[in-house]
Amino acid sequence: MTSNNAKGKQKFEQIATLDIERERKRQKVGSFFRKALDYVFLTVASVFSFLPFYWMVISSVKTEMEYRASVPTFFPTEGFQWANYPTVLSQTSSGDGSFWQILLNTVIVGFVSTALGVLLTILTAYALARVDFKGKGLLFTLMLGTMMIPGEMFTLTNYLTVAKLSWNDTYTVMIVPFLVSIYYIYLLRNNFKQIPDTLYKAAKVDGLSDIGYLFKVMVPLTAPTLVSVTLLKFIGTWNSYIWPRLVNTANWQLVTNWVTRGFVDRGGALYGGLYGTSMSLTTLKMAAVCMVSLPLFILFLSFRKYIMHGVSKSGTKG
Amino acid sequence: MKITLQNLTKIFPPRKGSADKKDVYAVNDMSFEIPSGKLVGLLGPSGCGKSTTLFMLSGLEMPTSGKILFDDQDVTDLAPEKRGIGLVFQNYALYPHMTVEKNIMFPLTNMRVPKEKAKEKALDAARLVQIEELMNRKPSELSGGQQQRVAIARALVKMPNVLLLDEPLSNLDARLRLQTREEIKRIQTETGITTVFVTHDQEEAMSICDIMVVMKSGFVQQIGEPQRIYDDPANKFVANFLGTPPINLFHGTTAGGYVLIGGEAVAESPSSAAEEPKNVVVGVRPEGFVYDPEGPFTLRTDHIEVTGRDKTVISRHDASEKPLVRSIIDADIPLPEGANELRFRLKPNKVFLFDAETEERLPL
Amino acid sequence: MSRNNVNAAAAEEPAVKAHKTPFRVILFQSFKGWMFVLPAVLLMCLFTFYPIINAFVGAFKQNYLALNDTFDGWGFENFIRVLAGDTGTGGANFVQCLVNTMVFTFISVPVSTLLALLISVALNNIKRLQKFYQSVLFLPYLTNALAMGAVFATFFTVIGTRNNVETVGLVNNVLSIFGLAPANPGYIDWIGVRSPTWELWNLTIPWAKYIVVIVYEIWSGLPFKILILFSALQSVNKQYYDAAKVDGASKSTILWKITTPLISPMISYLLITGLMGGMKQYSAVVGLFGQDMGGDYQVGTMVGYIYQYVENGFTGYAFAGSLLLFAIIMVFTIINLRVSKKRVHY
Repeated sequence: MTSNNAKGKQKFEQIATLDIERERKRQKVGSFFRKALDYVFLTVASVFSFLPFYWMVISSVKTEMEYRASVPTFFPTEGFQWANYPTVLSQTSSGDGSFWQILLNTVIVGFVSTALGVLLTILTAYALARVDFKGKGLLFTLMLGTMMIPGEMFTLTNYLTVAKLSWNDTYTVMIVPFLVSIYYIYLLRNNFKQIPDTLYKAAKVDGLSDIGYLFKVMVPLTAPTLVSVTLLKFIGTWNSYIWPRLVNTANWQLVTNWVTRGFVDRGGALYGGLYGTSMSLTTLKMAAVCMVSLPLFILFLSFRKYIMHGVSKSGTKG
Repeated sequence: MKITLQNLTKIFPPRKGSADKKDVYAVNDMSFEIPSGKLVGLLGPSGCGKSTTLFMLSGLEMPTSGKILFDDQDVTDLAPEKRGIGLVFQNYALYPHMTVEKNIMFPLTNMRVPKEKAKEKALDAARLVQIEELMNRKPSELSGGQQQRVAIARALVKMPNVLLLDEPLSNLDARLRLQTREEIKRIQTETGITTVFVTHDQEEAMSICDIMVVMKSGFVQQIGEPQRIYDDPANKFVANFLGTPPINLFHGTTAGGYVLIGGEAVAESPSSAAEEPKNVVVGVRPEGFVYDPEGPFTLRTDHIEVTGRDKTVISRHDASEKPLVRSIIDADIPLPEGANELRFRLKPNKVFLFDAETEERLPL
Repeated sequence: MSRNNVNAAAAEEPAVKAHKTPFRVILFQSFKGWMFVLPAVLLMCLFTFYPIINAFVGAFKQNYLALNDTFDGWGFENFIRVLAGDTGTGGANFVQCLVNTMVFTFISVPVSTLLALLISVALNNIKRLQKFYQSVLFLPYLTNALAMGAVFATFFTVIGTRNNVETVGLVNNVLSIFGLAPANPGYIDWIGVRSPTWELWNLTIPWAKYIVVIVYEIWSGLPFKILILFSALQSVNKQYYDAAKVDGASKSTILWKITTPLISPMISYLLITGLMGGMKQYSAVVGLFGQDMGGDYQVGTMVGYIYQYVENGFTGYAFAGSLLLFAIIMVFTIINLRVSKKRVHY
């Protein structure tokens, strides 16, 4: 390694001739700029993320005239038009369910389908994780196989099935076909599998029945996953759009269907009646969008940890 | 390359959630010099600041105050890649997605060395650490010892002025450890690169270091050749930290020209008869005991361990700081069977006196 | 005998199991198991398994009108007509919808993944305000595609006039500030009927509308990708970065040669899920362009195509379309798995 030694000395010379002062300055400036660049980049990205929400809120309290100004305002200059909200809420006409009717539909469907769906998920996941029964392997394989198939393929036939069952314009039609979600069953089954067998033996010694063990031991132990599943199921109902539109008429639809309608000033009194009773107003639409988005935000802020836990595991968006 | 540390200090802010809100002085006002071309060991218990010192030398940590000089150049806040150092991490930090060859070539690629030249140099480095036949493997396909060699090759390939190793042997099993430490010594001798390594294992440090730096809680305790530190420890901590089995420590007094342990005058002391008796800690190396039926020092024998080469008498003494006293004597010296007590005399150069309060070394 | 003993026997000596476990016990276990899964199984038979079979059958029924339950004969006619755009009903064109969906997916998924990677890296670099940026960036996470689509549409929409000055939407305002708006009429009609298009063979490429959809897709896709990549970055051992620094790697070398390969499993996961989700695109386009998807399905997606035929009753075309979608997703999944197997390092 004598040659290495020689090269090592050569390198040494290079370092010795390095202008330390300049290098130090370069380093300082470089690291400052890099930091600054990080912050600038993140700020731009955050503005991009946040702007739609900001725009949605301020547009909902502008007058339609201000909203249509050729130079957009970033803050309502013609006063806060809180009247936009009651106008949206009071929109009812033949066939179009009022907001309250639609909200009631959504809440009922959301709660019932979430509660039943989670219960079903728990029971099925338990059997798949803990009970040995003939045909389990086949059933499990079939279930996993269907996870590859796009949901639209089911929706088509289900649309025909519920029509045959005369389920149109009921709550049933929005609850029953979606009770089983194979992915959540799969997720929970994996969670159940991780619970050590010794716990089951201990519970048996303590005289707990199988059902008792399931609800007193396994369910509490997998609480984080169950909370995530519950939240995502509810949010799924809140955001569902296609199915209610296909199977139900306006009075039986859900909030997301409601928000896609055009909102007009039915009373004709808003902004001095300038836009009449037939023109679709963007400010009203934004007020509706705000109302539909608000519950999602509240859920998100209060259960952020669980939602992220669930979503990062499942890779789905509610 | 000579390395100089001047009043080097590193303060970490208090850890979040920790009860006391005090700054942590990882390294405290440290000054010393490492001569060029030596193998230097930073030795101390965990939390003594040895790794922090190493990372400040590498440029990955910036000192709070003080200076680091390579030869006469101030490199204190120079970026790592500008210092001409090679660093071997405790867990090796080999890039898992690159082959051994790519790993070794990586520093050269970053220096824009032409590919053919870089390959050649990588092969040279691989030969030096004897892994040239593993070049196309991924790190996950290597044993711990082989990964260690790759890490060393990667550190050496750019011909660094200084080679830094963080606990290089801690992740290896006992047999590999012995082999690897010889290997490090060999590589260092062959390349002549100033090498600094961190360890908490005194035996490891003693066996291969040219110079040893003993540290405790951010302060340097003693610097020197391993044997000199062993023979002439600066304080009780150093004396206690070096040597296996460790030194025996007794509460004693100096009075009337003698060192007294439990009323027995075990050694002479420079104190005059006129002086007040003074409390001291007496350190006796296990090999400092000589069996002598007429000796001044009595130990209550517990049992005797025989290794073949020598015997270790395990005994108890009321004044001992540790529960057991270990004394090593030649295997061929006969000991009386089943004796409850044995008497010893002490070799003067294996006995150290320490101040009971300051723990500093006192003249004997 | 407890269930666990059965389990243990099954795991260790499957051959002996039948011998050791009385038939009665197996029967009881099976009964218990099926009781637990029965509700789910019944629902799946009706709403999952049967629809799959029915889709494969229905796709081959010619002139299938499910609501009247009429069809004349079997064959591939549905597929041929769907692919040739010869369904005789007007509305969406399959090839157009396929091209639209592909363009949306193949631009928005890679771009948003790349952006998410850069954002996550920047987020990982900073200490101060990290939580703040993280929260703001996660905000678009749980949004309603239709609601936010409507908001995005307002950015692009050219709407009425006030005092005879035309309102052209925020995006056009920004464009004219930078002098990028076309001279005549002085704005781009992103959403409306005057939206600019290119003609390509016999396809219409409404590029302005594409941009609107892609911008929305990137916006809505970022948070999830940032969440995944940021947590992947946080789990990367910091020593690799230290080692790379000592090895003299520049910031960009560290990003592309160290960080990216180390989190490549997560990147490939995001690409796969992103592509599969992108092929099923629907709600966002409806939110942006309304139910006719940009006027006569100009920016229709494959799912939009299928639903069109559900709603107008031509069930056979809907089934054929859904099978084609399924096939396309399968092909992409397989290609993706092949490619990522080569790319992912461990």
